[in-house]
Amino acid sequence: MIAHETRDQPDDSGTTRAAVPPQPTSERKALPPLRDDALIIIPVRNMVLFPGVVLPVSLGRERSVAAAQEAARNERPVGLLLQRNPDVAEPKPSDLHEMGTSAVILRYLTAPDGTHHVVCQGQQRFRVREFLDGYPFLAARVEFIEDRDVVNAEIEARVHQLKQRAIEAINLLPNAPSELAQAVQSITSASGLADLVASFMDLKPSEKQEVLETLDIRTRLDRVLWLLAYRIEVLRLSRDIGQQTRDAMEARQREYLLREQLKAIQKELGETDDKSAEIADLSKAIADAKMPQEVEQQARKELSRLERMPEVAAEYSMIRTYLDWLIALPWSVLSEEDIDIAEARHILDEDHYGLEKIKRRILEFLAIRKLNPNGKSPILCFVGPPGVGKTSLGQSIARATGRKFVRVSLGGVHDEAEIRGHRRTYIGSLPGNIIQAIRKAGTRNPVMMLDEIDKLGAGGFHGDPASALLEVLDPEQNNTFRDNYLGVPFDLSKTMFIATANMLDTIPGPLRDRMEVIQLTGYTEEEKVQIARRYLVRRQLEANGLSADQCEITDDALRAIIRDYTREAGVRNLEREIGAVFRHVAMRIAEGHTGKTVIGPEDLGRILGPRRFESELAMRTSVPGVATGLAWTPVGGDILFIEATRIPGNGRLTLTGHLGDVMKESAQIALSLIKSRIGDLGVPADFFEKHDIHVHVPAGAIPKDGPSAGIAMFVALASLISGRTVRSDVAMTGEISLRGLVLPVGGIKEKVVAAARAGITTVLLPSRNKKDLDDIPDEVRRGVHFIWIERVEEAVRAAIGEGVLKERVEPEQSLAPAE
Amino acid sequence: MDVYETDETLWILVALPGVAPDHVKIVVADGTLIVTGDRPLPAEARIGVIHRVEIPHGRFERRIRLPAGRFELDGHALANGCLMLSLRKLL
Repeated sequence: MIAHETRDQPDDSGTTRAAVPPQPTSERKALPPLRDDALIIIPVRNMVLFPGVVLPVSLGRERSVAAAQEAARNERPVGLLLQRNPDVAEPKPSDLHEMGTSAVILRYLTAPDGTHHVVCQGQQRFRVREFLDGYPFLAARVEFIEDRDVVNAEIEARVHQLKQRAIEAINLLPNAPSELAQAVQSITSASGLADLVASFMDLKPSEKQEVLETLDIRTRLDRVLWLLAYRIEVLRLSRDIGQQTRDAMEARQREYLLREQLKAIQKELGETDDKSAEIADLSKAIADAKMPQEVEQQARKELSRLERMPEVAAEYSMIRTYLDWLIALPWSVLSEEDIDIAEARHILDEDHYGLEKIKRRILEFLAIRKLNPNGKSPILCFVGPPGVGKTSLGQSIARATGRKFVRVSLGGVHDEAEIRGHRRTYIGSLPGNIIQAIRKAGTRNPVMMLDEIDKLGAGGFHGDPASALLEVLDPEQNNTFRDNYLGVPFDLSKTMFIATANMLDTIPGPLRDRMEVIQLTGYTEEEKVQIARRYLVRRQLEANGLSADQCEITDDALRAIIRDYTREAGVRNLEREIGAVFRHVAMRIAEGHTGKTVIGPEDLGRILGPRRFESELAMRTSVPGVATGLAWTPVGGDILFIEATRIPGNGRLTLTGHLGDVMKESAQIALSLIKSRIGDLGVPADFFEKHDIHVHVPAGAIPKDGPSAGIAMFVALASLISGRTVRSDVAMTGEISLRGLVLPVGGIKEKVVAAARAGITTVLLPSRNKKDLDDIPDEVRRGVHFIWIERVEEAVRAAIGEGVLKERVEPEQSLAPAE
Repeated sequence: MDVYETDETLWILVALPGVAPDHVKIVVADGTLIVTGDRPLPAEARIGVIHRVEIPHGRFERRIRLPAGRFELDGHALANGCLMLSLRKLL
């Protein structure tokens, strides 16, 4: 730097001085000397110098440079005047304010870029008297204005206030020099203070000029105070805004920093659940799920929404759960079907004894499946009494067909949403039971058991669940089953639905219509023995911690349990009783008895108590007026006693036993028929004028209805009137007409099975029910003698004996040939 | 301004080019060395046009805090535009 300068120096300051622009050569001429009250004027823009203040002034204009040099050379003061309009390049006297401050030049210096500056210190205010001509710069004759410091209380107070406010302002200034506050504090002159404060404040030049021109000290202080208050307000506000911005930035910065740390910690712990990783995982899972196109589109859409969402958003977990559901569903997973009919038959036989008809149906289905793999799955409905193995049959079908098994319990379901799901707008919404079961199965073609379909709750104001099931169970529709939660169709057509029910009556027609109904009858005694032997005994031994070596139960004992301790279509109570027997044995063994215990029929009384179901037939029918009927109930068939008695009266009929209208009518028909045949019964014709008839059907608390007890009522009345007992081993069913015909009824199978179970050996059935004989298990058929009857006389003859009711040819029939 | 210290003496070197020795005043007070002086514009500037003024002129003052201890001004010399002061340590 210095070397550089010294090389330049000779040229600049040496002999060639005259050649250097821009200084005019007129400098050389002797200027007229300035009078003492004249000042060299430097016009300035954008700044106002106050007395006592040191300010650097940049000299841009030639005339100003000349003026400053002239002043510096002669150590004369200069006068600074503010331009009225800063844009004027060469201001004329009229472009300048009239009042300014005189200043001494402390230092003249040039910057390395060649610009000239002076540092000057304000001295005194002046007012221009007149501008002087003949100088290469502005010069003017001026009048100096003395600052008179007045000291009084008003001024003192203002000075004090101004100092405080000024220090406050200095503290608010972003980078105020520390000496400034000291300078303000130590100043004593009121006008000096006002000038100093006005000077360092960030004011517009016109405002500063205004302060400069305010000569009255009190007014000037007020003015500066006012301006200062305003500036403080602005400074404070801008500082607050700055602080707020900084705080916000810092908070964000802090959060970012913490998150980064968290990430690092999680990474260290191996818990990298980076959101993007999560999204990538989901994206991969969606691809792996092999969804149908429509579903995949939906999934991708939701995924992109998830991606844009902060993890803390409430909806985040909702979308996440939804995506998890979409991914988890087996859109294209099918159980492999390796159909082997022989193997399937083996499995079915192994799991269930009997039930030939159902097994045949399953095997048919498998055979068809083998021939036509794309055929629709059947929708079966097993109807039968409790405990006959409907549910376990479903499991065994799944096993035989090599499919997964899932069970949906519909008992008591009363909300449509339980079938079809809630819409996703609801908090905690989930898909319906069907889709949940499919997810559980993990394949698209499981065996789905809809248990207790007859016990669906009635549709309340939540919609009708049965109607929702219509879509599920329609093979034409269920390939696009739309769950409300998923909102996309799912193909259920490969799912094999098996519904179970105890009775068909409560299943709505349209639903029943969609299913292939398969009736399961109750088991016969022999079947029960087989079932007990094959499954129940083993299961109960296990449940009670016994081994086959420790305990054995004989077939006779099983038979005794079945006959004397249970009366049911299924085998649930049988299993329970077997369990009770084994518990007894288990206790003995636990007490220390060793050796094998064999349970025979004679032990049962001791273990299970007295027989629960006596064969009451002999006793019940040992008096005239009692006949055995057969009834059908949802839990299988049952026997039913009709009791009739006569009491003195005038021919009225009393019916008791909680009978339905149809059954009451049956009783009326039976009575009318008896009355019409009074002559054939061998009793006085006025019998009914002297007697009332009472018919009762126990048990009195159980509601009964239907026409099928008509024949039993007739026989009971015939027995009553004739005074002869009905054979105790005979039971009967059939509707009667007033002509004495026996009409066919339903439920023959269950009724006959129940009769056999109850120890009946002869069953009277309407001859037009002969077609139902095929349904009756062989074993029952072998043990029961069937008598097919067409007319009531035949029934009376078979049940009571010959000669009770004279045979009579139907009048119409006898008359017909005559006509 | 540079400050050096030996076992016995504190050396202070002040660069003062173009300043006449009688324009410089050195005072030690309160453990502080104060150098004041004046470098007027050269006489040539007073009659000519100023093109560049980069060497500071005018009055100047420099204060330096001295290391702990008592000192006595031992001697001074002005050479090559630099003022060399030596202060002897008083033990």
